[in-house]
Amino acid sequence: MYQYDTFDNDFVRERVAQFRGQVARRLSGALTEEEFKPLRLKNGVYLQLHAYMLRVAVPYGVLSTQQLRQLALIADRYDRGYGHITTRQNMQFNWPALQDIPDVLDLLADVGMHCIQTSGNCIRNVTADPLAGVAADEVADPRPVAELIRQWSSLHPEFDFLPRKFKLAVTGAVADRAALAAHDVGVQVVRHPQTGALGYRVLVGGGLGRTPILAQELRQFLPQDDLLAYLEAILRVYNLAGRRDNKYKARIKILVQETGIEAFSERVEAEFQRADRSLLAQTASDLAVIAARFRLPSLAPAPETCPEVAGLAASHRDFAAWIETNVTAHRQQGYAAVTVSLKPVGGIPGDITADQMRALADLADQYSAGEVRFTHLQNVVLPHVRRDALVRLWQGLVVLGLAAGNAGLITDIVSCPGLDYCALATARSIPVAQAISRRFADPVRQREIGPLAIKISGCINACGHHHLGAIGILGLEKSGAESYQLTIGGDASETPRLGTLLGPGIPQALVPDAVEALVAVYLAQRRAGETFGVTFGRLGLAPFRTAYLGLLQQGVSHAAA
Amino acid sequence: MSVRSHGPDLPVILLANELGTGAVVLATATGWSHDVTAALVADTAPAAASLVQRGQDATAANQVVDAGLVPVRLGADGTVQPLRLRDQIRLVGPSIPFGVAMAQHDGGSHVSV
Repeated sequence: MYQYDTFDNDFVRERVAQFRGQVARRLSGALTEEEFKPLRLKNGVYLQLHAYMLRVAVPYGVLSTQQLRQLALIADRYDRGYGHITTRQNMQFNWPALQDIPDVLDLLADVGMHCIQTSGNCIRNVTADPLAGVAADEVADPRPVAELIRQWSSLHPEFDFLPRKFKLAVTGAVADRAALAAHDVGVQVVRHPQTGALGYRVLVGGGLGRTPILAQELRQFLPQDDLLAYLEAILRVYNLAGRRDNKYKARIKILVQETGIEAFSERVEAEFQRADRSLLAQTASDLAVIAARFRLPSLAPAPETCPEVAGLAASHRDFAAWIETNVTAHRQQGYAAVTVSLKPVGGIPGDITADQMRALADLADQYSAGEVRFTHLQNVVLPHVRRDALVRLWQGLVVLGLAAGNAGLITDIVSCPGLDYCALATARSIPVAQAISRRFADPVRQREIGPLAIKISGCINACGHHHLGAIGILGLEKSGAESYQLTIGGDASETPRLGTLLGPGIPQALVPDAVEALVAVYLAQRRAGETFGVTFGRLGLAPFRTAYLGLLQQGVSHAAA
Repeated sequence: MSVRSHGPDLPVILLANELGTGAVVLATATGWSHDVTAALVADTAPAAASLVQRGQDATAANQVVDAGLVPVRLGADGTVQPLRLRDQIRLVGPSIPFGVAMAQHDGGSHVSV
């Protein structure tokens, strides 16, 4: 994993010192809130309903156990004993005091972490496949690329005041486990079909929110050496041409849509031709230095099959379920990547207590070479677990209440914090997630249903990625009451698809019934082996909409927006 | 520095966040408090305007941020309850147990080993 060098340490410390001064000037009144707001946003500080919120960057979701323990310490000392993993692999604290935040940032800097550019109109945290470096289907580990982009984009002087936020994601496999199509720029590591040379497929113009648009291919193959120069070209075109007159039309997705992908590509290529060639040379050497930091840890040979695992799976239903859904093949024989679900039945998606963080760090030290990953599905991955240690790991997770065998199933719900926390929200999302989770708690039933991604957003900004849910739920306010619109058929994978609206909004109490109705259609009409998404693709919207509207006739409904 | 006002709905109270801590506070007769029972309730337009001025003054004095009038209903026992769910949540906190309380009441997810 990447370790800070002297430059990195100095960089973060300088930023902390700078922000400490800015906070002091805000508290004294030397800075007004209007002057301070863009400064605090670029240090990840929001003002939410109840308190300030601090968003900690977890670059491409990778962190050490030392870092996880520091997050636990911060949660205990400066927050209320817990943190929240976001859909961009970051961690959020919901209750820090502004006057304490400089001290929090110093604690983060002690372990090579920061909150720089986790908000504001700048390049945000680069996210990546949570199985980066361990997935057997990878062309190449995307983390060095993500780290290169992180370094390049941190306090980039030209791109510090973009028209709007800018989000990048990186993957190293054909299977897209990072939702590239939903990002402003998506980078997929690929091999040239003729030469076999490594390079990148570049997507541009994706984004969710009030105008969801899937990213389009900008470059089918970009040589490795050209990456930063090409990204600069994209950002430069956006910085110059992106709208600044209307916040809701300022993302690059709007520019690409209004310009057209061909015309946009021409502008990028023209800008790229003017690129600084010295930067090209820099890219290759930088990438090599960075890549050296991401070697697999030394993993002793281990058996691929384990009688203890098979024996317990045969006799213990919950363990068998966990093995089936939460354990993923590792590129090294005898090992596995384990998903630790932060979606216990009735729990708050993505929340983890300080005690759980510390205990998970202990388990990661013992079973995962000291490495932990945060995923954009708001779970945790332990990436390097010996298969013959799976039983002991699971037993440890049971004690923590983190052994839910539901990865990818209907109770593995993604949810933004919603109106219970967020100043932007229009409705609550957490209670909806909890109600659905409890309705479908039966593990046998969950397995019968199979993979089904439910994603919930508490407002049009779509931080819960509801547009990409197989069932998406959007909470709005209608005539003073919470009203929920459901979409169906979304897909965040390498075959991306935006969900389709089912009909008028419904009250919160009806949402679990609505999900039941949709699941019932699927179960009644699926063919052998079909997942929910495949059945929807075959049947189309009609039967699901009929079931949804039938439910509305039985219950209370609200007019659609 | 502007303070959010809220149309003709009365009565209203004034909510804000403490600048240094972010904690939600209400304007009282003598200052600011976390205690909703101490909230100063304005039931006339001039009283509401006075609250707006209080918010502006406190904002200018770097005591609070995001000050705004919140329409409320008064219970028979004098209790104050915001009309909008958003304001209710802002005043009393998240509508669900969270943090350690949530982990202790996690809907029965524990399984036997």
